[in-house]
Amino acid sequence: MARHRDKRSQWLKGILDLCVLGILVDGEAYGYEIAGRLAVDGIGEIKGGTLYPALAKLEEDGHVVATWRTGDGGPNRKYYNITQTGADYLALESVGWQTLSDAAAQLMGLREQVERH
Amino acid sequence: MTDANWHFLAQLVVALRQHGVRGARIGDHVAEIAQHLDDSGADPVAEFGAPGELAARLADDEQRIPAWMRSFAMRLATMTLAMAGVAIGMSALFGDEKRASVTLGGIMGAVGLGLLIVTLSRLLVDRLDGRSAWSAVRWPIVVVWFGGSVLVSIVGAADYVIAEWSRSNALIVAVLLLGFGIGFAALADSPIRFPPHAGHLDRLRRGFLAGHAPTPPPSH
Repeated sequence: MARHRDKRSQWLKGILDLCVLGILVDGEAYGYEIAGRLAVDGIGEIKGGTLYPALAKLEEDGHVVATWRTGDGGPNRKYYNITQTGADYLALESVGWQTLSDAAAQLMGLREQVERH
Repeated sequence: MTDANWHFLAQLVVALRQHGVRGARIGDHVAEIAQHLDDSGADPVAEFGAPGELAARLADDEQRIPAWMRSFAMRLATMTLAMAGVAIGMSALFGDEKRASVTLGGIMGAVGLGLLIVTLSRLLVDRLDGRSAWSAVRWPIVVVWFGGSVLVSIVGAADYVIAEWSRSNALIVAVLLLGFGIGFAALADSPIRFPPHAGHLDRLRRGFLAGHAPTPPPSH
């Protein structure tokens, strides 16, 4: 089980930024909210130690912009919004990911299994 | 906030300082992580790892120059080079003198025009985005353009000739400057950073490849 988790975290390293951008396409969100969405959407539990450096990198690259705001009666939070550069990056890289995952699925024989069912 | 969280955040601040992260960014990271710990109730080390390791990861993504400044500096360089190229080219083609010269006032004018165009385009884009860009551009405008222009006026050096070429050489310089300007513009509008490194070149290459339809996997 631990080995399965290691493998999964290795895959995620390459696409976590794209998953985060995919969430932000639906609207602004703060870090803990993004972590929750990643878990609910089946990506799995992403630790803060992985998520926040990824968010910092997206911000540095200009793929997201962040603003501090007070939520409805709640505490100050740092909300992230996707930029046009981020949207372009997501569109470009998600095509690459789709191509790679299709090829990998083909090699693993997954496509035939899916088609048989 | 629990004692464990305070202790973790204090260690994180020190570690971030040791990695040379700017104060404003440290405040950002700490406030955000503190909020995450409050929301989740998680143990800080279990959630974020050791403070030193987290600081190293956060500092790794930290650029010493903010993204807006990199972009602004790039666009300013682009426009200044292009404006200087146009001015020298015009002087060579239509000037009365046999030789084309570059004066200090001319350079200040090129920088000023570059600043004006970059600022207006930035304000327009950010207005469309619903954000204000003024806070990002005010200091470069005040310091470089206004300050420089005043200084040049005070010392009466606007007509000071920095370089002088024959018309044909001036045209070559103009073309080179325009070429550099266009090259900088291509870099500024690409997703890569400046100065580029191997990773950027790889992204640039993938950017070109992305212009083609992805090849479907072969069917067996």
